[in-house]
Amino acid sequence: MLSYTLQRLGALVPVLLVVSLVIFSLALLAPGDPARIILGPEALEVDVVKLQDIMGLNDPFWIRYLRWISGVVQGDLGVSYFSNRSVAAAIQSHFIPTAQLAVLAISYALAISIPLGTLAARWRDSFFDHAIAGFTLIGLTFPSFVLSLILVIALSVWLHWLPVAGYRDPFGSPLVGLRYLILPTLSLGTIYASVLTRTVRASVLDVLKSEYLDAARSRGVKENRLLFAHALRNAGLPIITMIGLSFASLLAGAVVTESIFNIPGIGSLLVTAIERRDYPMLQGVVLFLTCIYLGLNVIVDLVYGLIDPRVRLSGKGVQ
Amino acid sequence: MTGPLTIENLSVSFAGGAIEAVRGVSFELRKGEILALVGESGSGKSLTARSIIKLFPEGATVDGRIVLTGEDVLSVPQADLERLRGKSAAMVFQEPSIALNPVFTIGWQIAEGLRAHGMHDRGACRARAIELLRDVGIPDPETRVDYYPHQLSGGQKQRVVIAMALALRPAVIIADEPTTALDVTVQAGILDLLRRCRDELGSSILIITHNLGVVADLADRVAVMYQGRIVEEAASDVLFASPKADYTRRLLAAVPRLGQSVAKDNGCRERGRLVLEADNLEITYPGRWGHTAVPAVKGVSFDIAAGEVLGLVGESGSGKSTIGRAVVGLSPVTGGAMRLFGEDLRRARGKNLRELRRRTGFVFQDPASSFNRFMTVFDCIAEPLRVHRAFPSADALRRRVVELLDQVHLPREMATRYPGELSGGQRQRVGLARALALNPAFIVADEPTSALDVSIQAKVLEIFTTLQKELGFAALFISHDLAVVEEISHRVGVLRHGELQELGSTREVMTAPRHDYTRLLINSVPVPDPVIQAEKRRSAITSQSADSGLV
Repeated sequence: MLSYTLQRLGALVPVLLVVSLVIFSLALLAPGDPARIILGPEALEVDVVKLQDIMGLNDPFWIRYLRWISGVVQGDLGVSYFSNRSVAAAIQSHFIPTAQLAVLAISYALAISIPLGTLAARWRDSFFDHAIAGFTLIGLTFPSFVLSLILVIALSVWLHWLPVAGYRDPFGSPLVGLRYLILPTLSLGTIYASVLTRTVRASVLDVLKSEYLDAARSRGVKENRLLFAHALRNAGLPIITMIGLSFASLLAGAVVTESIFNIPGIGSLLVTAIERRDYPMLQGVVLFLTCIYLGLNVIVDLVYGLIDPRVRLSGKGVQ
Repeated sequence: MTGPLTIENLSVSFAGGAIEAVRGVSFELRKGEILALVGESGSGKSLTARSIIKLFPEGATVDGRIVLTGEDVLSVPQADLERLRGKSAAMVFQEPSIALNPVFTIGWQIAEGLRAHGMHDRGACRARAIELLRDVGIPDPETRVDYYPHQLSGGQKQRVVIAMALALRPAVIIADEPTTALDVTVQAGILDLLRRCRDELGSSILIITHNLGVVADLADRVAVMYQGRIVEEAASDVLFASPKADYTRRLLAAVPRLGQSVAKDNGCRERGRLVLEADNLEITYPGRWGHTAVPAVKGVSFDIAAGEVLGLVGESGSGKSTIGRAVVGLSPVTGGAMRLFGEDLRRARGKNLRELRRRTGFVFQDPASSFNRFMTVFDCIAEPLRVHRAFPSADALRRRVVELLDQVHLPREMATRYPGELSGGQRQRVGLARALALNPAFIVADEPTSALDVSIQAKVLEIFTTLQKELGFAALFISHDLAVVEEISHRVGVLRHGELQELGSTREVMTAPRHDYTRLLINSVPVPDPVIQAEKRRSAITSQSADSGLV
């Protein structure tokens, strides 16, 4: 298992190198000169050239890439053109709210989707199943910002139960912090819950046809135990894949929700960096998100091994 | 006294009675008896067996009475049903690899059955699981109890399935085609094990099978099912000696019997031009990253002359299919040489290779999965003709397809149907027609009849033999079934673990095998005659040391 893990992690190195190269060149290929943007439209040409020299923008591509990547390897992602803050620190402070939101949203989505999806498969074609199918369809087709706005109007404006928007650190004051996170969690999580419920239903349904469930049934194993102990683990692989993907996109792409609820997350950091052509920030954030994606993929693969012994033991010990 | 199981007038239908799968079946299973339920696919035998523990597919309507150890299975509440399952009747499934849950250890799965019946002590469950594994002949059960199913061989998996069935010492064991998925040498061991379950535990066994050799080997009594009804029921020796029902007679006649085929005009046959030559053939599948490569075929040499049929026999994993696939380029030749029509397959490229393929036909094992289900039968058969642009006009193409359909005895109207609408036997005849489309000089047939019922198999084999004589193509006929190979081929090669053990004329190999493995293979095939089989078994037992006892 350990060697498998190391092998998987080792395979990431070339991927990350290629990605870093792409990220670095994309930012430079885009039109717009950072020095000019920093100095504003009124700046003198002499000053622009001077700043370009200081920033090293006139050096050849490879020199600039190597300078950047050697910093990255040492944990130095550079300094923002605008705030003079270190990129790493900015990512860190913006990642915390996003991660909190993502964990809450995915937990909420799982808490709903696993029981509902499993039961929908169990009572296939029943009224319950059709009702679930209807709700998940609505969840899938509903734009998240519309759901957000409806929730804000209902729970905050009319009922005054929850704050309209904003963010307070839950580690500082848990109750207040969580109150602020409830609305964004509901609006993000509901959509992922719909996708996951469908995945769970489909994969459980697939497993329910298996002969080994009939075999266990023939030995007197009770229906509920068959469903939740015997079948669910087999249905796990596609579900885990879907959870990994959902979680990764939650971490990277909650931009809309973050801006509706005014949460200082990684999405807003990225959008601001793009608007300002803050290349160090942009490159840092994208590289960071790539690492998150790849890391989650490795975790998903490792979880495969935990669930399915055929993945774990493949090639070893057969017969 | 009454037996542990009585079935009265059982009917199972689907789609609101439109499809009647089982129609008024009644029989009784006596204590300590082995009753065989025989029939072809679709005869309702498996459904009848599953009814005993109420394992129906969705949408089944059931009528009748099933009395299992004094309780009516069809009307007891769910909780009682769960008590009866495993305790009064347990089931052994056909395909052990899908009857075991792949993500749990076998020990856990055995214990699940015990837990369901109120045994909750972990240590005791584990001890009992180990004991059961030892009883069914799993070596080193203390270690293997923690194995996952994929770490065991097919025969071991079936032993585990039997161990699970034995866990609560049920009064009735239902064995649904317990050896169909297994090799013949492994089958003998499983049949022995089942017999011991009866002899030593006193269980009654209902065995469902299509294999009359298995019936002759094991059963005391036989019930023959046909189209949802029991058409004949008799003691095993009586049924084989004087079958009464018309269907039983036909069934018995269709069974290929080892050593009884009409002697072939072989041996002295002139072996002129060679179609296929394998010279020290090696086929090694490349190992996955960090794993060693697996040799599938090791130093095999044989040849096939024009117009000759070579049968290649072996058990699963022997490399027989790999050789067949290598001929048409589906597996890589990694060592030695394979010459098809004199051309080295490893060197053949482009046009040459295309020409070789044009002259070679391939019949696949499973007719259900070797057709594109969105193509009509016409298109399936015409495809090779189109690929090789063999016919200039659409009209000529149509005539050729019709001619091929005639040759395999299929009605011409079938051309417009889809493979999914055909029966297994019809589909395999389409497969044969497709292989013959380009008038090949050589055909590779990879287990072409192993997915078919015996009577259908007989028909397909007959067509194959007739066409082979008429058209004179050479063939490599791959099969695990010795009787089939004997019937079809002029010469036979016996493969084991990728090595050719024996090669000779069919008569030589079948009647005077030189190699121990060939003898084992031939002896393992149960003869479809209870008297001969019992004789064979007695002589086998005296030459063997006694087995360890069951608990």
